[in-house]
Amino acid sequence: MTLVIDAISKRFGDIQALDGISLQVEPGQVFGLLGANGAGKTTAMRIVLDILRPDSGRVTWQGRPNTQVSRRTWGYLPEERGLYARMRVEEQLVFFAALQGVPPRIARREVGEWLERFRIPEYAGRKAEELSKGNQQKIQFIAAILHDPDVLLMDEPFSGLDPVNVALLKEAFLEIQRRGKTLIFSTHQMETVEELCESIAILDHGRVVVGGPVREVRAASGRRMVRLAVEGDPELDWLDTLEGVRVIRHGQDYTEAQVGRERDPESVLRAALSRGARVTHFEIADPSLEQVFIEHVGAIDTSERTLAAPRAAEVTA
Amino acid sequence: MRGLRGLWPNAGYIARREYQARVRGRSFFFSTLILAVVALAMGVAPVVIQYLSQGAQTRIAVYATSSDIPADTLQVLDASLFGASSVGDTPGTRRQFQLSMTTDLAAAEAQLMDGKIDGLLRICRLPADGSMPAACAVGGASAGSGQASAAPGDLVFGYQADTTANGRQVFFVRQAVNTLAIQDRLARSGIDPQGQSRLFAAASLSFANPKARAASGGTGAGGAQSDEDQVSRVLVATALIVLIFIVVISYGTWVAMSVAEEKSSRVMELMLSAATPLQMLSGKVIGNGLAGFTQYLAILVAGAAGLLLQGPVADAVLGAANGAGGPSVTGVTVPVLLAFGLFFVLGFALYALLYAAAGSLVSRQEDVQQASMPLMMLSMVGYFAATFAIQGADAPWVVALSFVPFFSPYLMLARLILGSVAPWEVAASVLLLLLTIVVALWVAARIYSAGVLLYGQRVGIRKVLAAARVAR
Repeated sequence: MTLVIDAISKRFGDIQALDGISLQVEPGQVFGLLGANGAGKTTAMRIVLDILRPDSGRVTWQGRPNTQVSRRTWGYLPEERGLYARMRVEEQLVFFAALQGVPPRIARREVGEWLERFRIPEYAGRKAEELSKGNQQKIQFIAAILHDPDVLLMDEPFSGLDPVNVALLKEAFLEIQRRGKTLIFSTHQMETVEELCESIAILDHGRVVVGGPVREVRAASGRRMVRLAVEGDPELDWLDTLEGVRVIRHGQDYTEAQVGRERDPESVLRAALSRGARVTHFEIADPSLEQVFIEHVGAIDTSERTLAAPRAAEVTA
Repeated sequence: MRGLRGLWPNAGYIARREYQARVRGRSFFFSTLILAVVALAMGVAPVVIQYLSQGAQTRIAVYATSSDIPADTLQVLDASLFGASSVGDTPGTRRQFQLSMTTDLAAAEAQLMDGKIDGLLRICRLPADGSMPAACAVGGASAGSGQASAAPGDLVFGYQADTTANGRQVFFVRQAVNTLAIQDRLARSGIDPQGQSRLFAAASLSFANPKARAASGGTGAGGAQSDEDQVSRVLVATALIVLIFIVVISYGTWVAMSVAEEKSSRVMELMLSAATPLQMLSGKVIGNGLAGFTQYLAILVAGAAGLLLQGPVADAVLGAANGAGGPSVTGVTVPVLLAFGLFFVLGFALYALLYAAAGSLVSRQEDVQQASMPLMMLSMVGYFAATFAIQGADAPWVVALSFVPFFSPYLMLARLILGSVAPWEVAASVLLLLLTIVVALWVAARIYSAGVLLYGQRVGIRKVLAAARVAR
């Protein structure tokens, strides 16, 4: 009863987009796919959807190869948003639903409910080109779920949305999850992942560098974070001189430092006390996902290696 | 092949969407309107041309000073003027010149000044002293060349008109009076009208094209045909071939545009997750084909209305007596129309599939023309081959090409109308065409599913083939 991605590779010309990735997503899970641009997230999703065929490896859903699974199993929100510009919103949603086998009467009712939920019921009769980008994105989300798919794959679903709409979409996520569906989405926003995802995989250059339940991923790095505040010494310059300790940032309330796996985090506290200082704050924590990500991949968005399409306006070949 | 499973109903939904999107578009409305108006105008055109040429009629009054001019003067002049000026005119158009005798010279001169008549022709006989009679001396040297060679007793003429001495009108009038003068001389030399008509009788010339004869074995429609019949057949064949050519080019481009539009608006990826490339391809071809057919019907109806209106319009404008006789069209038979319908649909399907594949290779609609250029060329080759084939529909190269799928819609149709074709030949070419369509569907689907995900890059053949090999 799981989605299994088994050793998938895919090459486009000179670029090895996927290099033998393997993943497992449990039903009912919210799964986050992280990675820098060009890490292979979109290609992986397209292969799961059978829009692309892998060079090697296979994908199974509940034990059956994805090439034999009904298209209605999947819902897809592509990264490249697009609707029929001159078609009315309701009309095109009913059209997309019809392609997935949903009768028009039922589709129309569902469309009404979702537009209501997204607070844009008045747009049903408008042409798509008259809508703002954020609202078009919501329409696309509705198009992806109208046929009640078992697995919903979304490529950067939150990009370009304002905070209010991000909140609306998160609510919709949880609603879908309550219905027992599986959600897979890719994103750059680590806070969103920590908030929503039960499991993640971090991709880099077509490989899974780390994956599993979020808590385990954070713990598995072996490093710990200590947060320390000492009266009368806001800078804590001596921290960096301790072996295996590196200051990450100086905050208003405390200074955060990373402690390598070979060192006991409590030794930092002992060191502070042995200096005769008065400790006002001490905390040991797992690294944040962002720190884990940086540890594995390097800084976010440094290496552009993307296969994704440039915007039409930029293409002047 | 996975895609063949369950072509319906999705292809139907896509076809319906394509049809609606196309037909509701503003450009569809205006292009249909313009073409329908043109068709209507062409239907009524013969009557209009007739009406306009009637307005341009030149009225000439003829005044004779003596009574011994030939009795058939008016008929001779009329025949000469009509014969000279009607070369190349369609039959049934009105005569450019209208002649009438007058006995009141003063009144005729007044009419000429008022513009009620366009010309005044005076006829005199040169007296024995050879001096020009005053009644016919309307100008100085302008009558020159004719007078110089005139002998006593000859007919001489004077002509007044609001035109130039070297113009078309004077040229025709000069020819006519020459004829009259020569006939008069012959009559005075004792050659009676019968002898004259023998003298002017046309020589007999028999003509044949030995190559054409040899090729048309004589069976079927190629046998005994009158010239008029042949002209009508050529017209019909040309018209139908042009119709197919226009359909392939313009409606095929629609299909390519529609694919490119989905790519540039990025709705493609959403479609790909909901439908197979084969469903999309066939839906697009059917939807755009039906939209094209709708436009076609509108044009046909307008054209037919124009033809039907010819009679009433002619009655109203020209008077009942002058109504144009209905054009007789031979060559349009039920089998020809059926074959036309079949080749029309199949030819469109074949080209449209490839146009869709071409459209999938570009990222923007502006590039569609360039990408579909090879198809345009292919279609042009068929079209031009067919226009040449019309001159000899039974030539071996025509027969050979009429089985080649990309050309058969044009050439088999031409042979069917103009040459001799056995039923099995038509069946074989249709069968080949159908097989090619199946292959084209498969090839186009592969190019399409590979092409639609390639953005921004100029897509070469090798890249497409590489992508198509791994596409689903």
